[in-house]
Amino acid sequence: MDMEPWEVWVRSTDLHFFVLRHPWMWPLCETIHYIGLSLLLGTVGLFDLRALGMAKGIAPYAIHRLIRWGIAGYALNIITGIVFFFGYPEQYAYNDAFYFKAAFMGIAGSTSWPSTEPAPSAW
Amino acid sequence: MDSFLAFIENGALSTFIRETPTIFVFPAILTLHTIGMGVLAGGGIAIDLRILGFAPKMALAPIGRFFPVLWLALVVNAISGILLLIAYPTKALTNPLFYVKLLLIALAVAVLLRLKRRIFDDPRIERMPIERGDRRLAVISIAIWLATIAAGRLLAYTYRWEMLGIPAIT
Repeated sequence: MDMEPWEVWVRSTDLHFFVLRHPWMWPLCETIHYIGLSLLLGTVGLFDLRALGMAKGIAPYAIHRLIRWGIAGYALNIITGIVFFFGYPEQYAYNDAFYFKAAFMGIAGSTSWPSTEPAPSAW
Repeated sequence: MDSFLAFIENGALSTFIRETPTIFVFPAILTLHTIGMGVLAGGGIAIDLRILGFAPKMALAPIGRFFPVLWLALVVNAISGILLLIAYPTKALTNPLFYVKLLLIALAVAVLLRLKRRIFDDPRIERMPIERGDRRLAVISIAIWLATIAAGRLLAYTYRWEMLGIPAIT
């Protein structure tokens, strides 16, 4: 079966060859990806717990300031995710789990986009 | 050592976790381990960031309420970690990096406990500025959490040989 045009293109990019030629690139990006994951889950997780009523003494707008670190983690993960996809596109493009993950990340990302902070009066 | 590892690796539980062909065993355990990491390391880093003055209006005392969630994540990861260890004992226990990771986790938890005692258990917490030493501890805490994540992730690329003869990826 012939490769789809998009895959031919991905496999012709500098990024694809860079990932293949530098064996440290994959472990490095995986490490950054997990750090991004932790930043996202940690900061947004604490905010969500507060929104659910835990630690009521914290003003929601005040804890919301930590969300920007979660957004930074999200950005790191999009960048490193692109590196993974361009390195080994076949691992992702023919895998249903990848599309579920992308959809869930889209939904999760949309809840804090645009990333305006709630005004103190809104709470 | 090798015969002990082989004993575990040939056992029923090890074989069950490793070889049951469903995503509800090995992949599920690995997923729980990843979520626990995100909550514990990420939550720990979030608390460190607050100590360092990011989100300055965030009240300090109620942060203590989040600690049980972090301890729950630690327990989930201890249990899922032991199950992963039973599945691939040779892979982990023959890799020096695995012991580095365990040491880093112990250090990170010790620093987290110290921060809890020094800041969040102190009734005068909201009326006093955070001390320099505690800020330094928060920086160290972030560094240890990042190193722990790196050590854990790099385990997947640093083992050389498994008892069952599965070749290393890199």
